[in-house]
Amino acid sequence: MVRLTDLRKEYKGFKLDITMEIPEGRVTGLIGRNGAGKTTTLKAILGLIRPASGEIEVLGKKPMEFSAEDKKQIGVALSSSCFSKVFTISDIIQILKGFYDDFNEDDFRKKCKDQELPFDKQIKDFSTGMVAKLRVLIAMSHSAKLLILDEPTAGLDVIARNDVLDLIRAYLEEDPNRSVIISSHISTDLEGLCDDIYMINDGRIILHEDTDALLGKYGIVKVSKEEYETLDKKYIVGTRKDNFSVTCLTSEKQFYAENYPKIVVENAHIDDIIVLILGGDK
Amino acid sequence: MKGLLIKDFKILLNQKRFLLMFICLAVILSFSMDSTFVVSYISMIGLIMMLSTIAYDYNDDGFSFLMTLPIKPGDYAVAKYVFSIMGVTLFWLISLVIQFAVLAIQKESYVLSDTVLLDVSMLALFLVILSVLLPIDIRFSPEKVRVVMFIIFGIIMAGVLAGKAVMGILSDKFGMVFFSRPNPFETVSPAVLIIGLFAIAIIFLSISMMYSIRVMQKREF
Repeated sequence: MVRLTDLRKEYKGFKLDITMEIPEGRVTGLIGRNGAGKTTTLKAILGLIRPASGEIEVLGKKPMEFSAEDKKQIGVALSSSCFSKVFTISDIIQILKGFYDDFNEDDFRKKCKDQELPFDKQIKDFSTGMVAKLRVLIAMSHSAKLLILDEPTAGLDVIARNDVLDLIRAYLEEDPNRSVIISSHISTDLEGLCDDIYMINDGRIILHEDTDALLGKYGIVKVSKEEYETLDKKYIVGTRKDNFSVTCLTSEKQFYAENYPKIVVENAHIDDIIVLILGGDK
Repeated sequence: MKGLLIKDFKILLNQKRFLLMFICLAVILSFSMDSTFVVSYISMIGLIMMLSTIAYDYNDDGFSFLMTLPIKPGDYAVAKYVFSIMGVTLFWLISLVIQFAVLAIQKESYVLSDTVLLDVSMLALFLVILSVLLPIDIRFSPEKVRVVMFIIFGIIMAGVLAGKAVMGILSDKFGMVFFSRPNPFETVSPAVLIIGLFAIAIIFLSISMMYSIRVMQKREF
């Protein structure tokens, strides 16, 4: 459904160099620190920026050549951009009807009501959570095949985050062929939602795994400094040393559990993986 | 395109209090001013209102989101021209209603053909001004637009003053005579004049719109 091949884009002090593929019916997460290149990647997929080189194919076409009809198959929620904040939801309904033939007004109204979003209040008076929900609902309002969600849960409290994630899950349940690309720097959001995860750092993909494999294979090995010296490091992909111990990230936790029965091997969450790969000792 | 026009119309409605205030002010002033004042004043307000919709699109990086909607970048420029031409014309029509209502209330005598000719010429002039200002507003961010406008009006003012000074010197020292030809409003038939003015406006708008479409097509969001 989406294929990026050697996509390159350069800004002052930043280089993006990405290859990735998102098949139909998958939920793919892009995770990385702020400024890692997640939004730039999504903008390239949407044809909002021109790549310096490389190939982009979305729904079988180059994004810069998208027609209006092609764009109707994509629903987008950008992190820092939406309709003008002077509009109310009632205004937005009228505007969306003008853009999309298959805008489902009843469904959109129902979902807005379910999320307790006021229809006649200007968006500028909405809370952060309300704006985030509205952005996602707008993206879902016209039965798009592909949803592109840039940091849909950024800045939200845990309840609002769950509400947004539930909206995405419900959308996927309606049609299993729908695909979602979701970027976030909040890993727990992606753990329970994504089929696979790309980790981006400094404009490059540094890890791509199925979420199940990532959570099943990766583990945290905690050892003393002495134990670390004798440890077989062939499956250690990140380490962090403190005064007395070393915390290691392994891509084969089973190997260490079986061969080093005395050391502690714990399950790794995506946060641990990010911290140890991106923030660990070099 | 339809969605963009609805969006701009909603932005305009959002400013309805300002609009009503300006129109009321125009009505009050028109009793003490020349009858053409209300036409130029309200048309100018309309022009400013149309251009202000672009600033709303710029705010909060709104262009990025707009370009994810089912339109091509060039469609944005076309919709903005369609909306602005319609808007300026609508404001001009409102101003005509007020102008003739005030003339009727004041029971002033006027030559209908002269008044209409002047009003229609003013519409053509505002469309030409629109054709100059729209690409600037589309090309530059609202912050830069102010600077660009300041520079453009500065250059025009400087040009006018310099031209006047040069003509004064040439006239004084060499006895050259300027503007000796008769006023075109008096020599050319009104129909030809109106057609000519609108032809100029259409040419200006066409060139301007082509430039704006190119600006949007080249832009990254």
